Amino acid sequence: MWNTLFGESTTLFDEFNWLSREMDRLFEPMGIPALRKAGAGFPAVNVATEEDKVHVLFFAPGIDPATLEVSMLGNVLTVKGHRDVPEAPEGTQTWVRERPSGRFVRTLTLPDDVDSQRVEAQSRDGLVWIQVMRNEAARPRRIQVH
Amino acid sequence: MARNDMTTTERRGVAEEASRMEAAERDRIAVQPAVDILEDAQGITLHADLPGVNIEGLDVRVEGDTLFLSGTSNLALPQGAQPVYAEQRSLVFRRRFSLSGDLDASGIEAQLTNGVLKVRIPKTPAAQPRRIEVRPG
Repeated sequence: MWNTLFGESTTLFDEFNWLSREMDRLFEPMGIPALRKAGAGFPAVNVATEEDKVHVLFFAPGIDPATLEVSMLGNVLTVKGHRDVPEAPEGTQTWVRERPSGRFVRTLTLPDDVDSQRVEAQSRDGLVWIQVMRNEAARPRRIQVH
Repeated sequence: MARNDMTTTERRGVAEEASRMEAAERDRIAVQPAVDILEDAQGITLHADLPGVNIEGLDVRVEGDTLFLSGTSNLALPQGAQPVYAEQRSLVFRRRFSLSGDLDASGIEAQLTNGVLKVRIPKTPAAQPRRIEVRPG
């Protein structure tokens, strides 16, 4: 899905431009800041929405899912954890070291109609998929005009 | 000659063209995975972050002196889901590395665990340190 989406953009600027437009469109009517980042980086996060739920994906390779702390307070989702990349042993030459390691905390503000009691999280192949249900009351409702 | 009556060579040409286009499309959208590369006396160890990639979506190959890594995440969100925010810009990973001549590509081993690929490439016996036994004379 993101493949086709971001394949269209030619520069990073375009992507951010598109992104902010899209976020404005989506979240502005609710009068809340769309997403609050507590330090971009690792693990990378993608968000997708449906009428009845919000999907949050954390790209967390090499992290034992059992050590991840996922919590919701109101519409704020927090994921805490750590990734241990062992130090190079004695007598080893390090040529490239790009993979992040250490502790991390990532906080996202989701749309304000999410239900913090109805959250599901699953993990597979270093990908953590969190689904947060949205309240029905907040969905658009057609009002009959008499 | 009927339109569908392509020779085998022509048919192969079409198939090759299709797979070339597919490869080009993947190259266009692919991102480079983060890697760590360490060298010890016996060989090279490479770790690559490939979140969401499983064995079916992984391709590790050596052609000549080049190591190719590619992986595709098999993530499938529901059709109607609208992406609103993305730090991970692609779910296709691709990267290649030049191997030095003292590595033994035939001895390469790879394993994939929890979205992390580990590749071990041993050095050729000639490139490995050799312990010379000194006997008392």
